[in-house]
Amino acid sequence: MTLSVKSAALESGANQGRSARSLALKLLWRDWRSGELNILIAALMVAVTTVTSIGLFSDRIRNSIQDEAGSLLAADAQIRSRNTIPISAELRQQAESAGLETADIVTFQAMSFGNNNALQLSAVKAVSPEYPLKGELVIADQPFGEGRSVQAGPPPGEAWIISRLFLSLGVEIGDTIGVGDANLQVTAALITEPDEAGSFFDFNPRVMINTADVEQTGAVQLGSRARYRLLLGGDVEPFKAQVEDSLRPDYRWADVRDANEGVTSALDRAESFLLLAGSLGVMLAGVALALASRRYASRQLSHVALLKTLGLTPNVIARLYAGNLLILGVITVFAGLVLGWVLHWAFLELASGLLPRELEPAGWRPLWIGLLTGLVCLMAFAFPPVWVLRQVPPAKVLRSELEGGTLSQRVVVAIGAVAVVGLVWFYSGDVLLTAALLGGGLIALAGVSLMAAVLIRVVRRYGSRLGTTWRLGLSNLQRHSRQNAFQIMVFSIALMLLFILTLLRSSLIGEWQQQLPEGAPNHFAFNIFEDEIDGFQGILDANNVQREPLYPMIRGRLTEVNDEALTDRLDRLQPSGDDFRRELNLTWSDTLADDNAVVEGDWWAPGDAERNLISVEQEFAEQLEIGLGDTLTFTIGGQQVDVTVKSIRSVQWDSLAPNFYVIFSGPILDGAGAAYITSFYLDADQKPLLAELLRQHPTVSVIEVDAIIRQIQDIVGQVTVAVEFILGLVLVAGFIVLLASVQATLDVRLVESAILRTLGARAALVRGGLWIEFASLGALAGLLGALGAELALAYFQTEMLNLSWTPHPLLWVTGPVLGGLVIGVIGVVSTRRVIKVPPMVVLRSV
Amino acid sequence: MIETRKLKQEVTSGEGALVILKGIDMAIHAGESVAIVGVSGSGKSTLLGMLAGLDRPSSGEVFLAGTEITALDEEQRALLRGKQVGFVFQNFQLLPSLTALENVMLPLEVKGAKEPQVRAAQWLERVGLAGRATHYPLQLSGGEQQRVAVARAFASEAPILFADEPTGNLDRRTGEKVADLLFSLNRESGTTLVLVTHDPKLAARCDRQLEMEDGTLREVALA
Repeated sequence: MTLSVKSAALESGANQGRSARSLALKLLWRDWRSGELNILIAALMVAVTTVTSIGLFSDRIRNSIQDEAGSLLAADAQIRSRNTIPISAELRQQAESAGLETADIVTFQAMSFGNNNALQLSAVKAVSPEYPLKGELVIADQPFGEGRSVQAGPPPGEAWIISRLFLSLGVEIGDTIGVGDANLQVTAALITEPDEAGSFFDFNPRVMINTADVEQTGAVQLGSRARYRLLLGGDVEPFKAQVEDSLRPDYRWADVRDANEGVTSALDRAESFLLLAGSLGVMLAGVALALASRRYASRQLSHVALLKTLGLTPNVIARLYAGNLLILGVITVFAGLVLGWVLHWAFLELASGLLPRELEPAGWRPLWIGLLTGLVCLMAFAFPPVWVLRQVPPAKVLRSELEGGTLSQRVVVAIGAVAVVGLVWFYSGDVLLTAALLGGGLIALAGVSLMAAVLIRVVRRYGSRLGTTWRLGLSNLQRHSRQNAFQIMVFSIALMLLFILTLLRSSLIGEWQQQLPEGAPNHFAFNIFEDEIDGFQGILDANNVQREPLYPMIRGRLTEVNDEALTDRLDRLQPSGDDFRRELNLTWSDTLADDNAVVEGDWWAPGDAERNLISVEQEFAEQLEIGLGDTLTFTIGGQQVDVTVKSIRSVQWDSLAPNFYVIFSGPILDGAGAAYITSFYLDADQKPLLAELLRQHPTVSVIEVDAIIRQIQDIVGQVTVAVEFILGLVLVAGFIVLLASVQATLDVRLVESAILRTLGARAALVRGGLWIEFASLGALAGLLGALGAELALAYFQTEMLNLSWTPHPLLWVTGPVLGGLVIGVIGVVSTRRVIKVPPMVVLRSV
Repeated sequence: MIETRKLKQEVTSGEGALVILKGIDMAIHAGESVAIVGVSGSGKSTLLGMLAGLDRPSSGEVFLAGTEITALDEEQRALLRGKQVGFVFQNFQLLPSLTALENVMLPLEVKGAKEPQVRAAQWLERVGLAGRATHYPLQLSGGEQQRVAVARAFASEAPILFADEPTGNLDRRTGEKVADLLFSLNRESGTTLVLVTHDPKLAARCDRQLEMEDGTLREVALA
């Protein structure tokens, strides 16, 4: 008998599945129309939308930043030859067959000859016709004239020279100059090269010529100090992977990250910030989704029980609901992808004034990530409560108090945590960050729930003395104390995120702006000799030009560390950084600049000036393993100088003030042969001052860095917009969590309010009670959120962002006030039905 | 048609084990109408759940239409319910998101019956609610809702019908009307009816009465 029932069961189960499918779709449609699914849909949509739009937005910003940084290389990557041999033709062919654009740069020093026997050692840059692959080459028709952008460098037979070289060579546009042995016609003033940042410390004025004319100059011969670069444009990553290992040891791969320190660190910070915000947004949406799904499932319990009495089997039930969820999920995820795209686009439109120019398009990756996030959220947060509906006991139709078919909160939290950790891992690819998030999350979860429970108890005990409305509100708070502890936890996480993001945002942007304030130096002047100092300073000061102090500078080579020859030490340590064999710029100073800080040892004491002491920059010291008390030997002007390390300094390189690896305690070789260096700020209208300065001090070299500063500021601007956008999205996610968790309690509240009003309570009492309940809930959450934010900020500031920790006292006031206000308003507004719906309707439908 | 052997149900609560059914032996034959009566909390509804295969006993056997349902898993019991059993509940248990007609169609759709809409409409007409087919449960009065539930129970054409306090949520006059409907349809269809109630007048309309008291069942001698 049992056997035949079983085989009949199999057959009939299959029939059931088919015929019940249309029923299930009908139920889904009705649930959707009645608004049952709104929060569920909204939460899933927010998860997908948040990730997709953050992805699209940051992808575009990142692409733009990289493009911008790429313009600092005039390419997407460069292969640089360390010796003076041209890049092999074979490598170029490989690059071209990999579909990359290529261009060549050769730089060398050559004497330029002008009118009236004027001559000037100049930094010649010969470029092939394809140059630049990225970025803007700007020239003018007159020295110091208004620039216009051009697509290629000078044609053969022509030279473009920088404005001040017109003065020192005594030439005008159209004149012929000699560059080595070649005679070339000057056809334009060179205003900016995209990759001039790479040649920051080329002291000599730039002459740009065509590579076809290099041979004619006679300046590049075997053994001469010419430098060769192969510029690569296009998708360089595959090519990098292809050639990186087989690259000759004297070739160096340089890409965007190497292009400029300041840009790179801004990019890194932006990346970690975006990543962080993205994961937190998803986490919030996941919580909302779990809450909404739990509510949806709990409202299905009696339906499921009824369907079971009608003969639907547990398997069919599970399939029906899972199928419904999948249909709903897929539609919602796609809607979320579209909305994510629209939102990021709309925001870019709104912010177009803040952005320097059109952003680069995004890739497909954000859409894939959005899709995957949606499906993971669906499976991890929405699916479990619905899947266990199969376990609802059918006898629940007779006795509604029967339990079963629901998941314990612990299981829900565990599944959610696994999903969040998985997603963070997927987004970041960083095991450490993921582990930190998991560990921190668990501790926070436990701590916050415990504290919330304690706080609820305390508030209930002391608050109830304030009157009936207070007693009602606070008793509500305590009555569902487990549920409320959970809600406080959710709210406090949302508020904590809000606080962290707001404060991080302002401190991040503040710090960036501080690094590059208005009026940050945008010109460097070198080779100022002692007798010119007064005259040079005089001109700047007379024109109210903001300037840095003048530093003496002398070139010297480091030869020994603690009696070990530098070459031996380099062989032993294999440092990855700079070429330490080159001549270093050395200075002496008795005061520590604002952008320097002593990290080990002490700054000079009185009398140190006579004692041959030095202060070494931190990274330089690390690379060469130099410590306090070590003896360094320099060769300066043919003489050996032994000095002892007294301190190690950190230096903020991107401050654009003159900075040095090594600072001496007193004048080097009594100051003989030193030239001075300074930096100063000129705005665009003050540019002609440069001509006057150079006319009066023809030997002084000036480097204009306004272009690179503008680039860095553009990037800061883009990052600012990105951060604001993401903050907005995370706030929306937090808002939906609030709505979802208030919704989750709505049924119980409706009944309670109906009973109260049946007993004669006025609407004002019920409403007042709700206000007190939600505002206290919010205030408690705000307090905990402030605590969490303070802890997290301390960690981020000190560990991730390398800033110093500062407490935020205001946070402890704004936290609870803001929490109480926001959650009070949202709570009362979203429960307004509790007061509006007539008690009879509520009690009848129970 | 329905038979139990040594049916026991115990639940463990904070104060220890509570015995709700103390080894019940009973039999109901095809076509009979039987009322199970007793005071609140005597275990009437629990027994009904066991007989209909909605719940599993702690021990003992239940046979329904010749099958030992206590030996089946929930999957198989559900299929058996779909074929053999119809229900009417005290609180109607209509799906609020479906119309009256769609609620009656439910068991037909679950069984995969042909033309569920036509058959459901016929049943709605038989309970006098043809004009209310497109109304939702909340737009119907209590009596009307229960008549929809009765139509739904008979629409499945199951040989056994369980009713749990079918008039318990209705006023006296409406309750009588629903009871009239229930018994007349039962007679016409020849179904076996098992009815739980504490209303003696309703119980008196059945062929037999069984009284639950303190976990045991005894036959009430009819006058």
